[in-house]
Amino acid sequence: MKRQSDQYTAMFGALVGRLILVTVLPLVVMGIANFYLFYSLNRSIVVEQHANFLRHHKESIETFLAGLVGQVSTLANQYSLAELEAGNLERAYQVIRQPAGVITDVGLIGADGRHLKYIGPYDLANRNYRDAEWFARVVADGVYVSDVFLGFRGVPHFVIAVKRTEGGTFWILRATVNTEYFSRLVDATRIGRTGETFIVNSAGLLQTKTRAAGELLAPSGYPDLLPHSGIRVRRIEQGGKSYLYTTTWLESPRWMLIFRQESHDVYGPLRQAVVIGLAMCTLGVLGGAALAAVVAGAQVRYIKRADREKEALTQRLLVAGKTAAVGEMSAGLAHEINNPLATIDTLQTWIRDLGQTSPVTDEDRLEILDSAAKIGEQVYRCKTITQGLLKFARKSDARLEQVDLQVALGEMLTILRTRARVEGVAIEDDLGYVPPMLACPAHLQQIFVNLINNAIDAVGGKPDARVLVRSRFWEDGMAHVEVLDNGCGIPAENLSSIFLPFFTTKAVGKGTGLGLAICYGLARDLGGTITVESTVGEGTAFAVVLPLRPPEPVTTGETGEASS
Amino acid sequence: MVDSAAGQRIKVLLVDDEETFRETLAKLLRRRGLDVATAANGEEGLERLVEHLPDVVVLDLRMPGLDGLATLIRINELRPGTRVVMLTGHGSVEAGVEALRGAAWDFLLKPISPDQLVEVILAAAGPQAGPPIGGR
Repeated sequence: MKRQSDQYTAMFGALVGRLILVTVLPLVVMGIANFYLFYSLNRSIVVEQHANFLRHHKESIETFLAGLVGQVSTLANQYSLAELEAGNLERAYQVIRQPAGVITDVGLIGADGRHLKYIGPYDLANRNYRDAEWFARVVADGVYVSDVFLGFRGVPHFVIAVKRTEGGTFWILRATVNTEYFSRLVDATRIGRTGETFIVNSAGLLQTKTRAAGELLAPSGYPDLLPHSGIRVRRIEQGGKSYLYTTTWLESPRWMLIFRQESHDVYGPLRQAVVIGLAMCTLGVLGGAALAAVVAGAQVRYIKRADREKEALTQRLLVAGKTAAVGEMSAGLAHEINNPLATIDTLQTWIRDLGQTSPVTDEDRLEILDSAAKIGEQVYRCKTITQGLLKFARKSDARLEQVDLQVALGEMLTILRTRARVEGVAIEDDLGYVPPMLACPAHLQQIFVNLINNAIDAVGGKPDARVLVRSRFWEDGMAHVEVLDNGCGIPAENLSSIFLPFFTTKAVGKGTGLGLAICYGLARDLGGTITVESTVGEGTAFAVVLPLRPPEPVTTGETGEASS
Repeated sequence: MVDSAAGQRIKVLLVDDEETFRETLAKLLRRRGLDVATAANGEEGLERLVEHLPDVVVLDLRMPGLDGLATLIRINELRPGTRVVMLTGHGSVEAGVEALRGAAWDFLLKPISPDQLVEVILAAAGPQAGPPIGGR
């Protein structure tokens, strides 16, 4: 009946596990839901941010380029070729060079493509641009902004050229934009660690210097070169990395403005939030686990106390059950002792009667001796009964001992037969050898006395009432004891209840309903079982199966019953 | 010699499964002049009842087979008016009440001294004596 400490440990573990599950599961579900919510929110915010940035940036670059084109056009229209050649080109250079360094050089080119005048760091004064692509375009269109190209100087640059018709012919004012300056302007706004802004032409070649996207004039690697309106956001895998690309097309020139950032970098704040969230979750889980441990600990302590109380109650029930069993037997004992007493009384009267006659004949003397011997027999009968009773009463402590079950059952039957005889019940026995077993004699006695008393009750009043007690040692290493009766039997609906405490079919005051419950508990304590088979009207068979030793040392001595 | 009202010896039938008790008591009663027959159980008792025609039957309550109460009822059916003294070692009040209701003359608890039993038998055999009230 005593729970072992590892049972409590297992119970504690199971409780903690369940409590943690209950606390952690909602936390995890909430965490996942929050993550997705935060993720999508973050993504839409990032996309919106990038789009806004690019929309504004596109405007400022267009404004910048339009401003340059405007300045060059104004100068070309303001001065005649002669004025420019005479020295106004230098002034014009100074004007459009502001802000500092935006223009690398300026040049005047005649209708024949010859460089009429050049101001700048390169030696380009006598170059002829007749065959240059930009020359053809500006002649055709009047104003032209080129893509970046190498040209005569062998350095990547792009030009703004304006054609001026003067006196039946034309000349061209050309300004070269400083790509360093332009690249800095385009990539002026840094977003994140890897965010950069650059421009590609319609062929996908880089028009500005980049930090990571590639060399000037190299392909950028962005696949979609079809012009589109508005802002487009795409995620592209490139060189083993994932990038978030935001693109828009400039009106003039037809360049694509690109902002790209590594996804890793884009979602950095999100990752940070996830890490913080996970940390909080972990803290929550740890807190939950600690709480679970505290709650489970309290629960297990409560159960332990309840178990101890239950055990104490069981011990009290055991005593009550024994008292009841003694009470049941006392009626039988009275009969069994009163009968020999009556016989003794009769014999002593007989001896007195014989002794009073005088003289005492030899025949009378023999009668007297015979009667005295018979008195001895009757006294012996009484002694057997009182000794049996004493044995029954003495075996009340719960110590484990080597028990010879065969002998123990025989002793029990001696005392039980006195009651059985009164009830007109014959107890037959078929006690086979059982090896010495380690058990508590008082408990064994209580089990079998209860079962046999019940059997006597079941057959009482029936003609040919019989109870059979059989013991055997089986190959399974267990002692098997059967108590069979040919009594009234137990209805099927009661079979499942008979081992419950206080279940009784006897009249009020006749039975406590504790007997079988106690038997069951005692047998279980010894590591055994009690089973029952019954047919109404034919009889009942109780089978007690006990091991030769209890599964674990049953704690003894501390039980209150033993010390009382 | 103790005689009945009719001047004959009082006839007694002892029915008890305790052999030593039954036979010793029989010898003791015979020595005091009673005509005693014995039976070891209820069925045998009913047989002797017809053969012996006792004035008084001393009947043990608890016996294997046909017990005392059942025998008492059969005796009243077979020979109404037979005085029956019930004996028992089992001090149960219910049994006593039932025995008296079943028309026993008296109800005695074992152990009872044979002298006392003889008095009860003599009283039971007396024609004018009414039954005592209750048991002893």
